[in-house]
Amino acid sequence: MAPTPRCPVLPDEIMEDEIFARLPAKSALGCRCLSRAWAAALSSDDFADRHHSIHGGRPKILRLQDYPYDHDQEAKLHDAGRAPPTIGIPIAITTGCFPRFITASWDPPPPAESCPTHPCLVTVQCRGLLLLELIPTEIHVLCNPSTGQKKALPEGRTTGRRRPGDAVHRYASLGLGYDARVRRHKVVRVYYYGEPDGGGRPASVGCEVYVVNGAAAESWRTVRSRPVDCWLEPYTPSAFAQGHVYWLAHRKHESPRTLEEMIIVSFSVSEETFAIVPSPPSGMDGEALNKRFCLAELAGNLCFFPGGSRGHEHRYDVWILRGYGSSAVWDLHCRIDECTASPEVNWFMRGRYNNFNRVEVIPLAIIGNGRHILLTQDDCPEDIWVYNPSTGDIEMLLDLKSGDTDNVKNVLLQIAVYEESVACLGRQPCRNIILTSSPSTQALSLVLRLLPKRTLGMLMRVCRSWRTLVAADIYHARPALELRGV
Amino acid sequence: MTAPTMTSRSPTSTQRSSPRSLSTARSTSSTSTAAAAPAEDLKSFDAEFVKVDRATLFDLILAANYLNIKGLLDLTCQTVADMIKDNTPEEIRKIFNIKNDFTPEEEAEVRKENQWAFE
Repeated sequence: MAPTPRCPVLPDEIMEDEIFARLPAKSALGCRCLSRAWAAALSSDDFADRHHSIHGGRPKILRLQDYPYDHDQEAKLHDAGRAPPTIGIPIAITTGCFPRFITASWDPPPPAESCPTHPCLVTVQCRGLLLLELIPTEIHVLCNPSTGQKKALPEGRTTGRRRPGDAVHRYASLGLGYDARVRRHKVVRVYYYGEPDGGGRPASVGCEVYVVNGAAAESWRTVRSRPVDCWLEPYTPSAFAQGHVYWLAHRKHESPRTLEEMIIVSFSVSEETFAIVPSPPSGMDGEALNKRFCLAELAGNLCFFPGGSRGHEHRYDVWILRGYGSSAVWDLHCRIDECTASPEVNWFMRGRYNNFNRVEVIPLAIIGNGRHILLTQDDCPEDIWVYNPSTGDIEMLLDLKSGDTDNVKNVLLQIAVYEESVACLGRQPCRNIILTSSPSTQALSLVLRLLPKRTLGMLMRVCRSWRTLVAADIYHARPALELRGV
Repeated sequence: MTAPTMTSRSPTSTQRSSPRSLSTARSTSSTSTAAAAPAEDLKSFDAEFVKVDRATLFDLILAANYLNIKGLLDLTCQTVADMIKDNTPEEIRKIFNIKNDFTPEEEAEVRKENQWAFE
């Protein structure tokens, strides 16, 4: 429509607060190209808050996938009926989005292998951002799925030495939270170091915090408070709700053979202090210790979801923590019990192939003003279901395997929930280090690029600064490596 | 940011759009006091209501803002947001009469910052 002479001009407040704030995050940030004043207005914290007030609490689905991005599959999901209006079309992050990992090879002459890294969810989404770890490296990547921005975090302090033959054990747990006082996201890292205790794990614990897009230096800052006498569970994603980050943890016992009691540890993002949260009643007793627990964020509150069987029963309890601090109270939101549930629920709990190994189920989000819960499978999810606690009805909302053909089977690693968010991740740190460092470091970086690729794994073991330089090159300047014929 | 023109409290735009917006306000509030109208009927009424040319849409926004009718403001602004969601910056500047004061280098820099993608 061409502008007519009498087309009115809208005032800036309406444009910013009502129109631009309703745009999806990528379009809203794209409007920074309009003029200098809009570039400043749309980068401000006030606009981020306004955008979040409109888009927060509207969950969207993210697929973490093992194959390169498939446009055809995306087109199939666009078909009518495949994109439910409540959650929209799921977007995908694939292993192809991240650089490959150069494995160290001490034995000449075979060249070092480059293997794909697999993104794995470390935290539940927090105001549109989430944290991934690139398995098998220990590189953590902060990403904003709604804008596509991603950023590798700097390396934290060294953790304890891995036990021999224990290639996968992790001694650091990360959490992502939002500090409303400074209006910034913070990543908190709890790491275990030092000599092993009686149980074979490093005995000392430390804690550090990284402020995302902060004014201060791009590095970790040590925090005095730390979780005492407990061992944070490193493989379960942490969750953020009500200004606190929550992890599952084991309480340490003197005797290493005692079954460790499971608790929930909280970290206040603004105060930067740790506390223990009492577990829900009949939540985590000894009998259930072998089962899979998970934490999630549902409608702004922490959700504790112990799955598993007791004897022949199989049920899921959805516990919600209302409030925070000393006034926090656990509330059993609903219970999905195999014995009393409908046949559709039983079919869902058994999985697509109806075998007798039950599928581990996790909750994703609460939608429809608290009336429905979104559920999916934990490992290699296949579909998303919506469950109504008051009627006990369940139905499939989205079939994620519908795009598969016999030739292309996209392996879904995980499903996550995110929100539209204009949160900015700040500048890439490694590039700045190289650009602003001394001439000798810049010269070294040029020399390292000329060396053959098979030696990169060995070069990364020389010292920490060389490892940073090589990793920065790999992460940002891979075309440069390839052009020089290495 | 925009070329100086009439303010949001312009009586002219309100006079033009007031009859339409006032009748909407009356019809939606009367249906809420009576037996609740089906949600689909209200949704299709809303969708039909905003099928107007851009000038009228903008007048409705200004009127809703001046008369403080939240539901109408939400509906009209969401319509405009959906309209411009996939537009280029140049098209958006034309719609809202925004003057581009970037140098070409600055504009390229800002565009580059938005080039993230997962593909």
